[in-house]
Amino acid sequence: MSAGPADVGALPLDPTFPPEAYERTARLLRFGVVGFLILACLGLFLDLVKNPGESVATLLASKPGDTTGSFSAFVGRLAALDPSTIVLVGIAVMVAVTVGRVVYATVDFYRGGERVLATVSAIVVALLLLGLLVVAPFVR
Amino acid sequence: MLVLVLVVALLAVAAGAGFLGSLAGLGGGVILTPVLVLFFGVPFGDAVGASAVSILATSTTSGAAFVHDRLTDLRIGNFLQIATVPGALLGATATVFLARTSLVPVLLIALGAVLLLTVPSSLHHRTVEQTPTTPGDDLSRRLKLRGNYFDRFRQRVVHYEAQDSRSALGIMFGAGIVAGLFGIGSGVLKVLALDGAMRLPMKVSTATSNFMIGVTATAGVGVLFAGNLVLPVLAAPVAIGTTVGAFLGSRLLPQLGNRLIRYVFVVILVVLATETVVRGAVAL
Repeated sequence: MSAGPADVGALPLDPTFPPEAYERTARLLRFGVVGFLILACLGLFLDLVKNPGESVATLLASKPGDTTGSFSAFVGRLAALDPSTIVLVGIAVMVAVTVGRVVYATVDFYRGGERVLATVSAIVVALLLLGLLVVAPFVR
Repeated sequence: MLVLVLVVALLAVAAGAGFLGSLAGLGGGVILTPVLVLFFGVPFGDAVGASAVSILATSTTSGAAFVHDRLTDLRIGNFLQIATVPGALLGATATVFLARTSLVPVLLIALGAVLLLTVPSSLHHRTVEQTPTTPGDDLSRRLKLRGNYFDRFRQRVVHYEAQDSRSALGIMFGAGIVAGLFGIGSGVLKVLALDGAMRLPMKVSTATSNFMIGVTATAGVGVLFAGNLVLPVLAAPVAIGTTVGAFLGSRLLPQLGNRLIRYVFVVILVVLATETVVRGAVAL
């Protein structure tokens, strides 16, 4: 599946998305997945160590969405190495990386003079933020 | 059952789903929601939340490779996200509210139906690249929805231009709704838009679809989390297992023939779909 650098180099240059733009996005995605895997594994390990006798029924009855609370409470749980909070940070890293890659695209479109697609990408960013900041609190 | 046992079982099952799904070229995510509901007794909403996180993780993993190889069309992918993201927000919001009602059996039947609809396109796997020769529609031309990639098999640069971008937008909105509702990637619908309506080359449509799945899943995950449907300790082993399985599958893919694996995967899909429909019908 993977093409070598020479193969990719055979492609005509896209002024809006030069090779650096692809490389930057790929780097961002790699950072996101590695960050998530590290935090998810750590959170899972801590959960199994801290709650060795926890039953599945207890797990399924937990409501993490209700306990997110204030930012300081969240930081407090993180400092106390709360397993669920650590996994949540991992998920948040992936979400941030995904929003970030759309922001990158918006900037690239704008710099490339493609105003319509820059606007479309900016709307996608706005929709993602709308989901996180407006729709999410609405369904809580 | 202890969480430890559940975690070990989920890691194994998700790794198997990711591995097989990757070899079959279908993605393992499509079977995770029904497996969690049918075999692990996970409530429908929590299964959707865990599956959505795993879709996000696998899409990010393979997306990095596809983008690096410049198979992903960033222009077309970003353009179509304007349809998938609102669809996913709508679908995930519907799941949050429906999961609190007595309509979960209806969701199960609908999920089974979506899985069954996936089967025909799963069996029909195009192996010959199409090279569109007609110019794109007016919207595609205006937005420069065209590109090129290096085809290693043919050892040449392939140029393409998107057709019928308006139909693709409509299909993508539907794909977003389905993805948000059931925590699946809806890759089949996305490829239908990219491959069927836009007539993009197969490799480009697969890579671009994968790139978009992550953004669609992101839209859904925030809503599902706020609705208490993302349980981190449940989602983590599913996402880790699927990601590792899909990574290993993609490494082994060049050395293995995937026809038999594809049929095995489709049989699993049919059994799960039937079981899901039956479970929903009985609970009605």
